[in-house]
Amino acid sequence: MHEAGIDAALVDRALKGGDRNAFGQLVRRHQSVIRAQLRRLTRGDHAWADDLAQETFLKAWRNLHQFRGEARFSTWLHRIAYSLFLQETRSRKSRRLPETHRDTIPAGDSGGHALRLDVLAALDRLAEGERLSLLHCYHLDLSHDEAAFVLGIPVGTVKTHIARGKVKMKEWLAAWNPTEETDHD
Amino acid sequence: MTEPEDWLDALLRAGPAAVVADEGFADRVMARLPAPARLAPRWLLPASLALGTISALLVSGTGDNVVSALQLLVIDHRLSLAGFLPVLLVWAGCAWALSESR
Repeated sequence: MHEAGIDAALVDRALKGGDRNAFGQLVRRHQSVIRAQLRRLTRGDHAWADDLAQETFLKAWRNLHQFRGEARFSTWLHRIAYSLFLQETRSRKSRRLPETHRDTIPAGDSGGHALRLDVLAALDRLAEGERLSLLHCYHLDLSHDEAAFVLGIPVGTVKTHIARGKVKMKEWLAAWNPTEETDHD
Repeated sequence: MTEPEDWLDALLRAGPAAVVADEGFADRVMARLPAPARLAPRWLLPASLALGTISALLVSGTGDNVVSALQLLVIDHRLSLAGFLPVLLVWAGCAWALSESR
């Protein structure tokens, strides 16, 4: 049984018999991608991201009967997580997003470390729509259609955001372009 | 994505820690999970809507028109759209409500 089939079977068990163990398996299967998404959205604020991730799964449990299987279960969860993040950032009591990404980058070779920091800094400089589209399509490996579903915007807008964002990032990160480096040598 | 991958695509895909270890997260979620909401049986909504429709037709007096339209259909094999219109409208609403409530 492939991944979507396993999710569908677990959702079915959780819905029909209120099987908490089945839902627990769904949480274990998807916690990583949802927490990764929220860590990116909150710019590395892990505590805040985990609070939102917990709320995401609790909301998913309450609204499980609304899952229609039209999207992957993980995509449906991403959409809930993003809407909770938006609600919280838009509310009066909103927690402020860190100015720059707080995520710790594992120290490896100094070049790779610096490169990853530069990529994160460049992402932070993008317009919000561009950053969100790139984040969902590349870091979270969603298709354009899935990113559009999660962000609640047309697919064409996602594609435009990605194209514009990439043009800007290529300019800012030109020093890391291996082909240009070869040309200069 | 159909476009060929370039150097920036590779950089973007190699983001920070793609896998987040559970470290008790799932257990914390499960501890907060409320009891499952008791969902109404699937037949309850359509049955209530049908009952409501019949009651509304009887109370409003439109029921006579519907009965006449039914008689026309069964006995004379003629369809009176005007007679069935209230029923069709209510049932269109029911179908929409059902599709939204799934």
